[in-house]
Amino acid sequence: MTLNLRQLAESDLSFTLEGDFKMLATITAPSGISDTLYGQVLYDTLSVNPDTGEPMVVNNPVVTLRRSSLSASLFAAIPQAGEKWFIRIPSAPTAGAALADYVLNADRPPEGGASIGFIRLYLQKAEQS
Amino acid sequence: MTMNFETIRDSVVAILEAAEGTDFQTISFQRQRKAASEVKGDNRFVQVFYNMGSFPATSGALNGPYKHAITFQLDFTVSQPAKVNLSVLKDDDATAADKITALAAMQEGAYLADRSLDELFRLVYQIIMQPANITLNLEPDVVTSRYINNFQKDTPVPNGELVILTGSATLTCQTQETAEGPTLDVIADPTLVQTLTSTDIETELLEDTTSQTVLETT
Repeated sequence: MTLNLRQLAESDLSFTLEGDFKMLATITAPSGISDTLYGQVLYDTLSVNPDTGEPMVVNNPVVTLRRSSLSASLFAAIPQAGEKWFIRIPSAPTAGAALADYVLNADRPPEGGASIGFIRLYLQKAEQS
Repeated sequence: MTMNFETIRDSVVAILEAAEGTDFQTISFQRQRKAASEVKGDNRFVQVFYNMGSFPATSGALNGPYKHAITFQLDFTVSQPAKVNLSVLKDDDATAADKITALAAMQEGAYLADRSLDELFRLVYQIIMQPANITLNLEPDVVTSRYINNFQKDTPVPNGELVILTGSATLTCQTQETAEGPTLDVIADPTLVQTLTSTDIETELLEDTTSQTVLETT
């Protein structure tokens, strides 16, 4: 079967997001339903200090998930800006790392969509209330 | 010789350090960088430093003392994570209803950081402005007019896994400074030079300085 360009890009996500560098993420929707799937986790982000203009590296975990890998119940409820989602990922990209707790960052809406095939989640550290 | 503004600065820092408890940390200088994790929760920072001084030229005598209007800056830095009932969300046996309740009760980091900064400013204001600290623990003739004039909260920048929020306030007061070294003697009060027009008086100018004119008549 011949894939069009969009289908081909979505198919490639099995390598880019779920390939050798995949990491396990557990997400819990506002509906209380959880799902565990593989995705890409970037822990550090290059940013710019707004005061000085100089580049800096900040710990700012970003999880990118393949939409088609979400379970049916979560696929129908893709994370939206302002929603309260709970996400657990390894605290570091090393084997045996402890799990760390995050919520969806309310100040940075998720990116991605059906046409891209993936969704990118910006996380905020969560602690026990 | 220490100038009064340094004595006052140290006293302000000492007052805050004595009262900080586990609520905040007092830093007596300008830190260039602060990690968000360093100021998380009650580890929030209050930085106190001498920021500006003005010396009105018309308010100082020849040998001093010189009036010094002091501005100290109080910089506040806090950071907060989101707070949520993790014990429920991490429990594999928790029901969906339990998780819904836990997520609904989640408090955003931005909200908590905002409230934390408000509380921090309240604590510092109450310490500095309490009547007992009107002289900032110094002799009454050292410092006057201590007052926290304003407070400004900055816009949070979404950067990193914690929400960082900063703000600043200004603390102003006045003191009198002196300068070291030998003092100058004042010869006399300045006298107006008069022009004598009477022809039956011979006037001889013996000495003329900027501060005194001595006239002798014969």
